[in-house]
Amino acid sequence: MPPEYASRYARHHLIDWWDQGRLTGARILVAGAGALGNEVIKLLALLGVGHLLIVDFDRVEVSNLTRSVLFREGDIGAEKARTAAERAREINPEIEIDYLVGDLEFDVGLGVYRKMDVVIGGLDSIDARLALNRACLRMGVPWLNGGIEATLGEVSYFDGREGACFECAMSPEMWARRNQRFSCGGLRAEAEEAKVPTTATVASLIASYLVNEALCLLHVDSGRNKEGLAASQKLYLMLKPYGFYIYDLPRNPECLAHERWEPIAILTERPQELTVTALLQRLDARESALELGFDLLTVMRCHRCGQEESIFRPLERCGLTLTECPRCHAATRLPETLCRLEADSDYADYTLAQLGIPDYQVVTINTAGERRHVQLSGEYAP
Amino acid sequence: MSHDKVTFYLQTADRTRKAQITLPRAMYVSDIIKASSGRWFLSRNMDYTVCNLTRNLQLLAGDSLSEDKVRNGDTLMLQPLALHGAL
Repeated sequence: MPPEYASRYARHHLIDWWDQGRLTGARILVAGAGALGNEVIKLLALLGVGHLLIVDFDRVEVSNLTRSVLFREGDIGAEKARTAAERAREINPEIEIDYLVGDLEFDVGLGVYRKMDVVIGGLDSIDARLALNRACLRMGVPWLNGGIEATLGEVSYFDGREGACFECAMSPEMWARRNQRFSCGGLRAEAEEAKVPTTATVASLIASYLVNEALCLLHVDSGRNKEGLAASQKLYLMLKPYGFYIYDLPRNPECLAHERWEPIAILTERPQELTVTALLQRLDARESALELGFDLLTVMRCHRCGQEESIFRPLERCGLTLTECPRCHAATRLPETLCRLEADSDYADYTLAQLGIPDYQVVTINTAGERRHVQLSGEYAP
Repeated sequence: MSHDKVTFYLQTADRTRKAQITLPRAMYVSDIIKASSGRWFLSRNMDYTVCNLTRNLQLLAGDSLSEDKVRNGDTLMLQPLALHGAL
């Protein structure tokens, strides 16, 4: 009997088209370790996908326990990403599972996405999906979007290169709803998240379709045509009453998200080892500007009493409470931000890490309108 | 039948509401979402998309009801967007 037939994956080897070696060598980023993420991670671990990276900033709450197979009562208060990774290692100790407790937009360098075979999103907001969508488009990585409500769910497949993207279908109403979360100064309104009705059954079903789509994608590299969804298609599943629909998502010609960043030069220096000035010198680009790709809050300044506080954080991560002045106690502080730095800018002697740039980030250098892309920290090797 | 109008069926995803309607082709999908959400008292906390079930095609909010998107007799479905999964 061939040794593979006695292995953990013996039943997989009985499927004539199955390529366990392809799964063992695969890298998948799971964005969100909640209801969908738990089921997705469980399935990927059972299937023996070789390298998983789990990203989530949140902690386990008691209400997660009805839908999250990897969490227990004793995990309440623990980090979702770490807990999910530990439990998945118990399911399958033969695979590598990393986790990152953080924000998928600001804490995961684009160079990490670039090394993934596929990204699976089980997220909770339009905002997070927009960020994941742009990251995958810039790096040309396919991603699968999952979403659930009480008795329905959907899976979309975006191939990261052509066709429609998640942002293509954003209506003005969706943009308005998304923008309600930010003040006119760009600070995040700290409204409590609405409680959403969902169940383990719909999460499990949609996660199964997500992972099956990932399987289909991985087997394309083994010379098979992609089965399941075609690029830019959505699967819509209803449980009450039963309904199953697959349809095409049109590309919106006005969508601004379709931007592929290539080529990408690689620097081995890490963000904490380079100042802006040093980066521009290293690239022989002293007359150029570093584009951060986000608004960096530098100072909160009170326009009533003049009090000021230095804060180096992406503006989107800062709440409206920062407008309250600790000296005069009025909500009269306004943010000062920057999104690009030149060699003679005020903060050019700050390291890239101090400016909020994570390891493996791909940064953009703008020289008189011509943009080039540079990855920090070398190649990401899971 | 006037060429500047189109008659189609519109239903909600849970099939609790369904209507045959005739509208000018110049109308936009976003108008349909707004009007049907109001008339059918659909949840205001959801975002909706419209899918042409007859042609297996999602319509964009900015699309008009043009011949290449909606034909007489087509069935359109108003679907709540499923945006949760992490909590």
